[in-house]
Amino acid sequence: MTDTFTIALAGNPNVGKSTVFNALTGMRQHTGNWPGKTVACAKGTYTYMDSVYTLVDLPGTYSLYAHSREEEIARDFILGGEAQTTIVVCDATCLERNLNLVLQIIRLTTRVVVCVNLCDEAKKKGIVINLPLLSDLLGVPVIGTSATKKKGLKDLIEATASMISFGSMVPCCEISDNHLPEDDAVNIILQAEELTKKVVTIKKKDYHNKDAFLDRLFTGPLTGFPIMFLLLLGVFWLTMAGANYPSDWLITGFFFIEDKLYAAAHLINMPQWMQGVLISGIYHVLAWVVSVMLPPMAIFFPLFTLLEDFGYLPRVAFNLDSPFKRCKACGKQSLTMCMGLGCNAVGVMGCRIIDSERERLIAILTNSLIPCNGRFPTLLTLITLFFIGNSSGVFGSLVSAVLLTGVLILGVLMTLAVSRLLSATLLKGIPSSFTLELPPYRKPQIGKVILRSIFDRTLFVLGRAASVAAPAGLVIWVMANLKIGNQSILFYCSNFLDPFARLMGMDGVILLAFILGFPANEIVIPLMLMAYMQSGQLIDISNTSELKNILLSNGWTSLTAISCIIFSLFHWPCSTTCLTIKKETGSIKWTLIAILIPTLLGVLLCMGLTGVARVIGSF
Amino acid sequence: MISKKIEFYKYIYTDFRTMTSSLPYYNYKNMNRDDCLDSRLALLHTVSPGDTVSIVRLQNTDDMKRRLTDLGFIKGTSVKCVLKTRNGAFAAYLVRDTVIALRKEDAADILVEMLW
Repeated sequence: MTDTFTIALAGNPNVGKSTVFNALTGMRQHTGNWPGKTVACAKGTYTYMDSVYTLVDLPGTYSLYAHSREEEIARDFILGGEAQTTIVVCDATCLERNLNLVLQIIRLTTRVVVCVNLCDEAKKKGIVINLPLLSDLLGVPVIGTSATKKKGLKDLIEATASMISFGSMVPCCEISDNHLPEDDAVNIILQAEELTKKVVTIKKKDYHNKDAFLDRLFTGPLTGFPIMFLLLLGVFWLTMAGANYPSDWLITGFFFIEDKLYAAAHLINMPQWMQGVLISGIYHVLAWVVSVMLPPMAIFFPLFTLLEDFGYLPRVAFNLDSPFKRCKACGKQSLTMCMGLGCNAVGVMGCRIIDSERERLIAILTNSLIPCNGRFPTLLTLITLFFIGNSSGVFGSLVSAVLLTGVLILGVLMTLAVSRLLSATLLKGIPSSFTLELPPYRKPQIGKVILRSIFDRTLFVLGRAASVAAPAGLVIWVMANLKIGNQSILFYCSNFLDPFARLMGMDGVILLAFILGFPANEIVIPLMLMAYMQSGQLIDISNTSELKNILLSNGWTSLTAISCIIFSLFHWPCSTTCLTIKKETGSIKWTLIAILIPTLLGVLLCMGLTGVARVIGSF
Repeated sequence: MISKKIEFYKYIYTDFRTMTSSLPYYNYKNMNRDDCLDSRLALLHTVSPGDTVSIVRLQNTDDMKRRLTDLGFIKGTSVKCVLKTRNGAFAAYLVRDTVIALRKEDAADILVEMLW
């Protein structure tokens, strides 16, 4: 019979808990070099000597006694008795602050194993830690690991197993009250200081120099903002320039297969309507989604993850704090904003790192103003088609990267404006205090990052898009082919929306595509194309330039494209994001407001723009 | 009699405040009279990058005080200012081998002693 045990994994933020967790369980919890990356408790299992161990990755905390949500979660779990043992992960490069938490946990429970992580990094910085002495002084096992290189994990597993079977050596001093008195908190820090003095020797004194130089560069008054823009531009440019060719290849490939599919369908005498449903309905949209989304994402995600792992995001937050403060919001909102760039749902969940209720709500409500990865393909395609013209190659992709950066900056500006507006109306208040840790820069593990972000994030997002795209393609096909009277349902629907959409510089089909794209923003353009192609004759798109012809023949102008870009930037969040907002805020009212704000913004901006353009055009 | 005495002290105190507030470098807003008299004392947000100071007292609200304490900001801890934005609204401090950024308002509640 196998035994099962539960182990809690606690520790300060950003000490590599998730890396230890991944290394032990073989799971792929996403990691990043900024405090607060893990906001939900992940669970994973590993087996050792016929016993099954369930590992729970708790959110990082500096202490067990402060009032933030994560700290409560961590404390309740450790005290709740659900966990047989707690592994406290420490950062070897700043052991002193980590020992504070270790000592606090040892006061509550004696079944503790201390894992001093990042030993390799400490060694590089000339920090030597006397682990046996630390173990003697603390009275609990102390294991040195370096989880990224999978060193010391076996010892950790063994120590944990023996801790569960034999218990601890030190008696537990019970604390009944949840609140540690102030003096005690100070005493624990002093105790940690004592301990550190005894066990840590620093050989190289000035190991902060390199970080300090980079910090001055990334946050300097003259260099900070330009570097931020250049990095953003660089990432976009690489994404665009790199994605062009594979996208074309994929499209060609998929349409080659489509021809074959039609041939095969003819061969087995598949009925005409079924061919329509399966091939021009489902397969067409799927092929589009994959070929347009896969290459940019496969480039963007790894690049972004590299920046994240390097530790650049907290510096962005440092740079952007002033504008956010002026809008009476939290500086950490820029971190959640950056997360929103990947996926708004993740960004909304990440808002837990903001302590103040008011500021967290602002961050949640404004998160979808930042274009997520699902909307990038739409923006990318429209920018490339309508604003680059014929200049292809390096120059063309550079121009489109500049334009995309501009679109993103518009999103950031709107985030700030809406934050300011919210704190003047619905969420009145003054900016509250917060602390932001700037972690040391870490060299990202490039190979691993690329592999992980392609397989975990890219394929995940793609899978989601594809699973939505298939049924949506079906719906569009059915709408286009089911006739009431002489006209298809699609015609009725788009005609119904048309007058309103015209006001915004678009047409009924575009608006319908946005509405049907509610489950996933990725499918807006393919839906649009399908609708256009179903209502007219079927055009074979073998490359992207023919795409433009389809759009032009349906009455698109540059104004339509601009309106579309703006509306794609500001419209309702996708269904996943809405559900996450509902979960995070726990109220339907705020969810509705979160849907309403970007929608109103988009509608008004588009209408304003179209109005102005028409007035100018009429002269 | 007593009220007169209070008036007198109030007068001296306000006079002192107006006198010192014109000094360019220090911000005495959050310092009491005795602190002001000690020229070695200052508030954390006035510390320039590169300077190291030692914490004398936290005057933050309870919640923030707690958080700062957890990060190791306690009496006697040496703090080095490492970064500051151009307008001085946000600054990063090296405390116990960790870089923590604080807003000006929060740093202005921390009384420090210049180490020179």
